[in-house]
Amino acid sequence: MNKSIVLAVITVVSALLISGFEFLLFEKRAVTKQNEELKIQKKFFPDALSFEKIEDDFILAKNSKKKTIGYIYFAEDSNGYGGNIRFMVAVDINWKIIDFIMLDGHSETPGLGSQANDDWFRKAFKGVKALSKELPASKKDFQKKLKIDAISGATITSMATVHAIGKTGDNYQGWHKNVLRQKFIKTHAIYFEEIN
Amino acid sequence: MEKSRWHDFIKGLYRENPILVSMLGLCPTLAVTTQTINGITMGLAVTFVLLGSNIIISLLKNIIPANIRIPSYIVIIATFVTLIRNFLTAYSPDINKALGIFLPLIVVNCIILGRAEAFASKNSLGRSILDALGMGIGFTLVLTFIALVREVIGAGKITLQIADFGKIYDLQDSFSLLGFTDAKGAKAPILIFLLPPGGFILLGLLMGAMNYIQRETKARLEKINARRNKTDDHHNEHHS
Repeated sequence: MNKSIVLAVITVVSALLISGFEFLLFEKRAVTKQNEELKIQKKFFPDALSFEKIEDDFILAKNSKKKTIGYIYFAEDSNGYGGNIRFMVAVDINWKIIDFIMLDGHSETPGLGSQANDDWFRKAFKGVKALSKELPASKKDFQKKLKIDAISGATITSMATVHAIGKTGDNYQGWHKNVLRQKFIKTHAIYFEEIN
Repeated sequence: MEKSRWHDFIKGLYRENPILVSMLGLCPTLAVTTQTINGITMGLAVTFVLLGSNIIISLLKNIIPANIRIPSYIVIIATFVTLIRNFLTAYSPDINKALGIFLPLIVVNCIILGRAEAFASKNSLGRSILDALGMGIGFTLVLTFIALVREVIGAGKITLQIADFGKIYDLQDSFSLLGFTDAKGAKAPILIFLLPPGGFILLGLLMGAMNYIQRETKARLEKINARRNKTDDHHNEHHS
């Protein structure tokens, strides 16, 4: 009996401690996440004055005249070397890639897969349309479509990158555009015109 | 008394170093030491948990019944691990992701459970604190050193960035990495040091060095003692 009481007391105290601490950290966590995303968004669009999240994974970048100058979308692929990898991709209004960043880059092998965040790799995507048919479909395609080789030693990460960017790009430019149109046509009539 | 206190602290750094001598906690040692900051953060996280759990377990040693001590220790350790993990997710999600599963796995880290069982549950609060600090700092130093060497040789960088503080030092230009090149002839760091085999090789070399040093010091001490005994004998004989 005594034993169960001791163990129960320890567990309850521990739960109280954790929840009390969590109470203090709750807001900070949201702020940190927002700040990190905002920092990346500003890096993508230095000219943009404001960013508007119209979907959980779709953001509009607007300049000082409130005109949309580009989109940022989140892309995901489950076939990274270390599991899921997420990207933030910036495209201009013609859906040409400006830049992208691998968000969970730490789970890819440092020095190999992590090179997806390196300049030489990202620069090759610049100006290419964010559609899967414009992006490499296999390792051999890289030289043809992006004028670079896939990251040596990290084919899986390279392929996951183009898959994520291309597939999600397809989605947004295809059916998702319609979804957006339906969804925001009333409250966001202005986006409807712009996305079109 | 003074000497034994000092010994409680210093043994974790040298004679009973958790990684190099006791060979405990090798999983995180090999897995997270690809960036300097990861090594430092992991080391400090373990030190924090070790300190917290040693304090609580030492305070509760007379209250916790012997046959439920392991579950009690695990709950106490897990509490501290959760605290440090929640803290990291709020302040530096990047580092949290880099440490990945190895942060929550501190719960079953043999260093911490080992110190709880072998030391904190049998010794006073003061000694337990010193023991935790010594072991924690010993662990952190070795982790940081391995991470530093692996990152400099394997990536040509030193990452000392956490949240918005610090920066990444790029050594690619100043440090030509002994002229090593990749398959295409471009200058490249020695990648294998970042990969698991490099970690094993480095850890093995460090353990060997530690073994050598400890054996040499021991032999030298014995020699000195033997010589002293001899002169003492000589002295005594002379007198008699």
